[in-house]
Amino acid sequence: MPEPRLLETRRLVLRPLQADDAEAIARLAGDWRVAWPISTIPHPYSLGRARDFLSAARRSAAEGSELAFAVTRKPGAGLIGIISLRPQQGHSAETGYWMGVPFWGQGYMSEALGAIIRHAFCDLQLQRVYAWHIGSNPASGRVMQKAGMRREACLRQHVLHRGEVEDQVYYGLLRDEFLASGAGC
Amino acid sequence: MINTVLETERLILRPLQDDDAVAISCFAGDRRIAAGKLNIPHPLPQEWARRYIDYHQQAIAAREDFCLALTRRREPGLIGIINLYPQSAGGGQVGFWTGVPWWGRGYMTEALRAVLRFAFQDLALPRVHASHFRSNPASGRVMQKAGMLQEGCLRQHVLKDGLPQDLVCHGMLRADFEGLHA
Repeated sequence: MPEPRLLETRRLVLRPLQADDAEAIARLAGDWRVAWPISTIPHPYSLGRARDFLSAARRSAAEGSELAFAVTRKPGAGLIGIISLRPQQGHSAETGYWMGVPFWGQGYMSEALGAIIRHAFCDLQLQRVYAWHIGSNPASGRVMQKAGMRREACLRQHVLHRGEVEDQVYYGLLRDEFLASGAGC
Repeated sequence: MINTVLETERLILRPLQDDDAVAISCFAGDRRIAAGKLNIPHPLPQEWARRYIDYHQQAIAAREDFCLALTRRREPGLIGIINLYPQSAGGGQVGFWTGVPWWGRGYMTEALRAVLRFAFQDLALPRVHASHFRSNPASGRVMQKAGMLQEGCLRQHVLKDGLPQDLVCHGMLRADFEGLHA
């Protein structure tokens, strides 16, 4: 699995995480509105825990088990969110993401997700990209829809999320659909 | 005390026994069974059935999962397996197969209904989940006949022998179960 590289969209650059992202991660993901939908984000989010996350992310990237990208706006380099891709058996990949609250409502996340989908199909030659969100967080599903993913299933009360049982809503996109959408590689 | 022997009109479901190994190897070794199941290899190694029995005998003793043999009331011998095991949100997941000679007689629907009743009434589970390959629609019909609701299809979500398979997901909530038996 290659190291993450730069992915570029109209307004964004997705780049590998770096050590000095810790402060922005702790500050932005420290907001409960960002942390709540993702059960792996600790709360409160100290700088130390952000550094731990970055070390773990470096190891995962080296193993190829998870590729996490910092979402940044052109022309600056500051992190505004994170999106990651977890390849499975060389066939598919699960993606997950968060965006800092000051940057909500501007379509940045669906733009970043579009870039990750393109990376998965065109660079990594995968056949499927999927993602899921908890039923109480429909905003995440709208990002998936806008990026062209299709809703595949709602597993009722299937996932334990921060102590509550939640519906698990799956979205997926197949390589053929991506190519047929005119996106092309 | 949880009773792990379940009776239906035509069947007795009971924990696995050492002498089920021959029947498991024979029936699960059929390519038509393996083709529809993620975790059954083909060809089936001799030792597979014995390890499977050992594991599930310990698990059922510990109440970690409930893997039961389908047997017919008047004739001894295993004709299939149904397994209820825990799922992360506190619910259960169920998987099953019937030996090819006993297909088309409704045995598994009967067994699944009994296991769903066991899950909701005896174990007080909030949900039972089951999934099958889309290429194996007979499993989906069993789930539907037992009252499970189809919740979606994860396309090309798993690989079986290197080939992508669509996974059709079914679920039943406690409220669904109570509605069926009200």
